[in-house]
This record gives sequence, C-alpha cells and structure tokens, in this order.
Amino acid sequence: MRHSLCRAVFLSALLGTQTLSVAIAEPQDSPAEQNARALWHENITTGYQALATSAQALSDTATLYCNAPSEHTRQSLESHWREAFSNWQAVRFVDFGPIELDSRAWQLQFWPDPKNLVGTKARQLLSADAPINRQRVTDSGVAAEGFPMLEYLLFDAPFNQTEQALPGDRSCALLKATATVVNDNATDLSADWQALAEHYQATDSYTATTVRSAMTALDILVEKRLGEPMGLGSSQRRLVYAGDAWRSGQSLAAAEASLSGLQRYFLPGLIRELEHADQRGIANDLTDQFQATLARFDALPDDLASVLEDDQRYAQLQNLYISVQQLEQTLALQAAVALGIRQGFNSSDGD
Amino acid sequence: MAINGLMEKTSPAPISRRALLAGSVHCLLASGLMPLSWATALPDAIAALGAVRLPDGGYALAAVNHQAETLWTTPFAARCHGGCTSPDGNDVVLFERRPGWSFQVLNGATGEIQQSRLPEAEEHFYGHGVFSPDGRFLYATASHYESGQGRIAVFDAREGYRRSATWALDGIGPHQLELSPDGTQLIVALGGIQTHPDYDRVKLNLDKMDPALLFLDRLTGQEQSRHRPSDSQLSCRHLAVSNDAVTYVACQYHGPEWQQPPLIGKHHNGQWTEMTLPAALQSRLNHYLASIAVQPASDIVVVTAPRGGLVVVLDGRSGNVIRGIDLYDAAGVKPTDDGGFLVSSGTGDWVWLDPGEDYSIGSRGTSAWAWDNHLF
Repeated sequence: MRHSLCRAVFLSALLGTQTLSVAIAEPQDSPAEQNARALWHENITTGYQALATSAQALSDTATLYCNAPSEHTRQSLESHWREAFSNWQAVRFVDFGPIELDSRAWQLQFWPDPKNLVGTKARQLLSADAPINRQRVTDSGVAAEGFPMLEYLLFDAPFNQTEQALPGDRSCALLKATATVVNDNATDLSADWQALAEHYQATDSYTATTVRSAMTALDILVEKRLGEPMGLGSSQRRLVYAGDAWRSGQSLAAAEASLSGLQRYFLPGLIRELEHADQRGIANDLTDQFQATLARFDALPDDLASVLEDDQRYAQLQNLYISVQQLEQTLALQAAVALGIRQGFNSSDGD
Repeated sequence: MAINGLMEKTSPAPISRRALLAGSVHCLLASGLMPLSWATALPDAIAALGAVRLPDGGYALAAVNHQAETLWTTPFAARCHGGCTSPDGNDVVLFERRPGWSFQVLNGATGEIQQSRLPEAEEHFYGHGVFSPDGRFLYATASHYESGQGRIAVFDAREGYRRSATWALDGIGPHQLELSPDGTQLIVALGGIQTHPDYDRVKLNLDKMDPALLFLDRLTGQEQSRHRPSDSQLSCRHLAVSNDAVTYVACQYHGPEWQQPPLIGKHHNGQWTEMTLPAALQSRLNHYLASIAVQPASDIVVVTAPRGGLVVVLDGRSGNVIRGIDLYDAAGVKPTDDGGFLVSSGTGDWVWLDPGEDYSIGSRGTSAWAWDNHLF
C-alpha cells in the first residue's frame, strides 16, 4: 500500500496534476482504508496531544497552587483539571495501542469504583507517615494514579471539610505527585501513539479494531455511564455515584466530551471508510445523529445529581439517553454491518 | 487472502458423503428449534460441553451430541468459562469465569446441578480444573487475591467435593491445568498477571509479570520444573498435552502491539521452545489465543484466535502450519475421536475439521448462542 502511494506521488510529480494523482491512488489494494486509518491516526494524535498539553498545564498549576495557595490559583487548578479530564474523555474510546501498555487507561481513570477505592487510597496515603512522592503514588496502584484521585482532592465535599484538605502539606504532596504521574502517562501515550503510526496504517485489522473501540465506548456510555446512574441498570434506582466524575459535578460534561471526541477523532475516518463502501447514506445519518445528540446537552447542566433529582430535567436526560442509544445502534447495526465488522463475544472480552 | 496457499475462505462446505445423512438435521434446522444445527451430519462419537450466553442475555452450560441434539442445557446466573468431566463421565464440573466465585458439579447425563462449591475466603477460581486419573480428586486453579498468590485448590470428589488441600504456587495467575499422560504430574499454565476483584479486570502488574509453564507433583503439589517464555509479557494461559507428553501452550501477549512474539509454546523432554507462524498468520492473531487443543496421538494442534477471527491448524511435531481458517470470534476447540476437531465461536458458528481432508472444514454448524472460549 505504501508502494501505491509512492507511485501516486511519483506520477503526480511526473504529470503535474494533483487531480490525477488522487485518481491513480484510488484503485490500489484498499487505499480508502489506508486513508481512513491515516485520518484516524492523525485525529487521535491531535486528541492525545491535547491531553498531554493539558496534563502538563495541570501538573504545572498544581505546583503553582501549592506554592502560593489562593482563591485565584485554586480556581485555575480546578479549571485545568476540568480541561485535562475533558481532553481525556475525548480520547477515552481508544482502547487499543499504547493505551493498553501497563493498563494506562485504568491508571488515567480508575472507574467504575463501587468500593470507593479512590477515597480509601487517599485516606491511607494522607494518614500514613511515609513521605508522599511519585514512587509512593505508583506503588499504591491504579486507584491512586489518575484523574479520580485529583478529583477527590479538589472536589470531594466531606474531604474538603477536614484538616487534611488542600493546601495541606500532605494533600499538596499527593496532588503534585499524582498530577506528575498523569502528565507522564499522557506524554508517553502521545509519543507512543505517534510511534505506532506506521504499524497502525499498515495493519488492516486496525480498521475493525478502531470501529469496535467506538462501539464499545458508546455501549459503556449508554449502559454504565448514563444507564446505571439513571436507574436503568442493575440497581433500578437513580444513583449519581454509579456514574463517573460525580465528585466534580462533571458526569454529563464528561459524557459530552466523550461524544464530542468521537465526533472529532473517530467520525471523520469512519465517514471515509463508509464512503468507500458506497454507504454515504449511513455516513450522513451518523453525522446528523452526532450533531443532534450533542445538541441535547445544551438543555442539561454539567452534573448528574441535579438532573436525577428533578423529574422534568430527568425527562430531558432520557431524551439524551435515547439519542445516544440510537447513535450506538446506527453505528453497530448499520455502519459496522455495512463494513463487515461485528462485536464478538470472546474477541471483545475473553479470558 | 491466501497464505502459503493454505488459507481457506468461509465458503460453503462441499457436499460430502455425510450430507447423505443430513436429512433429519435439515428438518430440525428448518423448524428453528435447534440451538445447534449442522449443515451436514457429523461423525459419531462427537460430543461437547460448552459455556454459552443465551439470546436473552442469560448464561448456561450446554451439552451437545453429534446429531446436533442438545442433550441438556443448565442455566446459570453468571458467565462461565471452562470445566472438566470426571473419568467415568458421571460428573461434569463447570467453573465461573474469572473471578470465579463458585464451581458447580452437574450430573453428566442430565445436567442437573448436584453440588455448588465456593472458594475459601479472599480467594477466587480462574475457570479451569482437572480430575485425577481415578476421578477422586479435582484440582482447580485459584488466586488468593489479597496476596496475589496463585494456588491449586484440591477437592475430594468422593467426599462431596470437600476441600482437601491447598497448594501455594510460587507465582501469580495459574489458569488452565492438565494431567501429564502418566498421571503423575499436574501441568499448569501460569499467566503471571495479577488481578483483584475490587479492581474489576484491571491487570495490575503488566510491568512485573513472571509467567511460566509449571510441572507439579500431582500428589504433593511440589513444583518439579518451571519453564519461562521468551518474553515476560507473554502470559501462558491455556495448554493441551499429547500422548507423547508434549505440552502445547497458548499465550496472550501484553506488550507493545507492534511486536509479534510467538504465541504458541511447546514443552518436550524438559525443553521449552516457541513455535513461529508465518508472519501473515502471526499478525492476525492479535496477540491473543483463546483455546488450544491437540490430537493426542498425531500431535496435530489447533489454536483459536477470536480477536483475529482465525483458527490455525498445525503439525505440532514439525511446527508446520497445515492451514488457517477464517472463523469470526473463534472460541472453543476440542479434538474429536475420529482425529478431527470441533470448533465453536462467539457468534454461534461451528466448524468440524475433517482429518480425512487435511483438516479443512468438513461441516458447518449454526447456533443462536454465543459460545465461550472453551469446549470440553
């Protein structure tokens, strides 16, 4: 496939017509697939770089705040947490490649956490005598290493009433160490993803892998991140703690960021793939559904708690839920089927 | 795409002599009542047990026979994984999928649940077990998850599957285990991956893995030898043993995706080697093998790769690939008495590999159920 591209470029130079070079590139092995993967790789690179940049800013701001605690630096710190967390949500659908190394996705966001291991780890680390540093945080495991730990320190209401709350020495040490781990992981992830470029674009199976990752992400969004706190899952009752990012009141903002990330980083490559398969209709449907679903967030706040307590707003949330569900179905039952991609039983979650 | 001229596309199976026997099966297929139906009848003496997910989302263990009849189906609340049958065939043991909080003992003829056994405190099962040659003891892989210590849990079948011993392993994550042909050893695939029920299915120690193939004294649990794969992130999960005491091991790789280490290990006479596949097949495995089976007399080996939608048949003695077969979400594989193999999948598609036709697809089956990684 690389050969065909080289030839296209060569012919393009020879004939001096850009249009012709594209026309020649088309009929080779499966250039559209390669182009789709090239686009996916480029877009995910953008997403990972945004995550790395904002994680660096978050880490820097944590140091600034701890050096000079004030209302201003605190606001800045919280704002940088939200931005970096949102950037993570946008690329959270990518469940293959370097994100799998050392369980990095779990390191960045340990969730679900039904036993509140994040809170338990925080209390253990803060109450012990041992110095808190990067090593201590990584030794404490995935519940201590990511955005939820920072969220606990910044936003957990009961914790913020205690003497250990920020900007206490130990809390600041934990904040800075955890922010460093997040930053390191985000930086490594971004660099490793760029190093994967050639392999990703040369390996046909990544097309299905990428589509499946989006299917899985939407399924998790519908079933776990929305369905469970809405009382549509196993518990049958509305429970904000079943969602993610409830401490910061960002459950819905995070869901929106994930959908928006899929729209920016996944959808363009998929459209290219669908167009190659003469499925422009499905591509258009998906484009419209993404827009319509994202628009539903306009009527909703960032948090879930206030929505779950208010039946009128809950109805709006139900509309969003249905919209995401329909989007998931269009992707899984129309787009993926048209491309011959299925979600397996063992291939997606074997042992 | 042809691979050394061996790759077989999923075209309809050619009509074989067995098609002559298929009339009754077609009738049942048309009626829509059969959970597993075959396009052509299978040879006698084929039967298999497998954990399934039902169309309504529930889980079950299903026993099927060669006439595409489901002998029995026993529903369970949890997704199950592997199991084993006692030497006399009376008891079937089924393990929950990791982290397994129980195993069930069923009547092999009826599927009726006779016993349910729990692990000890702070322990879960991994999903596999094996009986001693006389059927008296059941050996199950387990984890003491607070410490991460791998264990072999021993149960006395004659005393209602009472827990009779616990053997601590020097390592993490024992998964499938089998008997050596002479019955004196337990051969254990040690995955090396630490997990904890509080942490969902997170792999907690990918940077410190120490997987291996272990040989234990069956009577005492004492480790007799240990063989490490070439890469510390090559998790030894499943295995099959031939009559010549050759152990074939199916691994899962947890290192960088752009690396392609061999996934099939082979142990013979104290020597560990790894079997290299042609690059085009190797890359399609997606670093993940689900099941491995061997024809005990001929050493023909079959592995399934659900993430790659691939089944690979190879000659275990020479290491030569016989063929690759496309099978979406390929899952369980079991050697059949006639020298072939039965292969299931998560989509419900089955194939029987015909030993008389160089292990090409001799017959295809369809099922509405999603079959888990193992047939036994």
